[in-house]
Amino acid sequence: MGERGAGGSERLRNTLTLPDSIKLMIFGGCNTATSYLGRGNDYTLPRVAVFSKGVDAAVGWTAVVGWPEMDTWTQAFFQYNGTFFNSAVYAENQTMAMYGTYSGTDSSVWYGNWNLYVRPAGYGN
Amino acid sequence: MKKKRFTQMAAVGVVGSALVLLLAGAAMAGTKPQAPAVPADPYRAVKVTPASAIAAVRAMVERPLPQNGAANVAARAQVAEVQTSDLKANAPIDGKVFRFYDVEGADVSAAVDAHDGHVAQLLVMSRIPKVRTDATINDQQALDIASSYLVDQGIAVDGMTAQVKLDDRGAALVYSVSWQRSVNGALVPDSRLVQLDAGTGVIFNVHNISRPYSDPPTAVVARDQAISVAQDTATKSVGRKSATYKLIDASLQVTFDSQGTQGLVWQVKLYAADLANSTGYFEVTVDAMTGSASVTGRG
Repeated sequence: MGERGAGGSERLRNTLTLPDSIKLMIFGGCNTATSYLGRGNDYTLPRVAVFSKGVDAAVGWTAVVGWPEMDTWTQAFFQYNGTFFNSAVYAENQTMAMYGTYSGTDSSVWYGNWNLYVRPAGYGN
Repeated sequence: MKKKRFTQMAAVGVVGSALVLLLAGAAMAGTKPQAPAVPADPYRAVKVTPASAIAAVRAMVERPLPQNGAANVAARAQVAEVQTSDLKANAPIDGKVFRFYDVEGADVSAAVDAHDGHVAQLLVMSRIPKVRTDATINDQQALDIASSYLVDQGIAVDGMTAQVKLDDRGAALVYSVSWQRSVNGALVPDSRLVQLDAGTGVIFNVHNISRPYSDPPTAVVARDQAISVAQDTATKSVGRKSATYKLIDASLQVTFDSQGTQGLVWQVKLYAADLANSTGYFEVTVDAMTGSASVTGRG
């Protein structure tokens, strides 16, 4: 997702209905946790997902993230048996070890209950 | 988009060179073609046992956290002892810079250089912040804590300039204190990182990335030239004749290929503002000596 992906927060806020049973939404792309058109953090995708749509936890990124590094991050995140935030930091380290760069993957910002567990999915709620 | 797609040209070049060597070898030997010796990266030769890798992680963990600075002493006193009895070293993995053991336990995730045995990464899970708190330390205090920790661990940062960054990760406010060595204007594989909770000053993540290198030569391709080449390469890679780019970053870096051959490249990061879809991010690697370029990352 490119920089324009941040505009999705407007659509998410105004139109999309989400089931409140969602444990985690990952907005895996560039600047998905960056505020849209200077409207402040209320309009970032993960924040809208948590505070307007009832998702338990959500994450976006505040920088440009690159592939294939983001693939490694995603694989490592779901592989690790820890809380969402612990798994995210673990996945960042794995990405750095593999590629010698974070490539933006270390810019994730977490909203909601980031102490839920990746496996079993949503454990700790 | 996968990296594989953009490395096909380079692969053809390597195969072509190998073929030439093969033919030359056949001519010299007379009758029997001699397969060319393939010099694997000597720094990727595994010289460290799994047990030694685990021992290195244990030794690093068991040294006490630094007690200087104005960090939250009460919070630091409550830091539990790190559990290392369950550590296991997985088979060595090839990273871009070096080969490493992934040493894992319930409380620890570490990477140990399989060639020289140094701990390249140490992440202590129980020390990652679980509760977001306001920052109680400032940039200078974060630098002091991080520096003191590295001194205690015998990890040198001489000749490097420190950068201190406070990141709001939502889950926590995190200080990242980093050091990166540059030689002749190029980033070389020699860097450090210490991450700590800005609320408590407790360190939870340390990187010590390094491998031997030769001082890089002066780049033949200037930065502006590299950016221009990168833009052309990105444009052609998506079948366009033109595009308007925003430069995100362009840095000169020492690299190593899978054979251990040292190179010097410009790593150029671009964002195409006018592409029709939303996949406008490109990472282009431009050889700083020859100007050859390929797209090595997308977003």
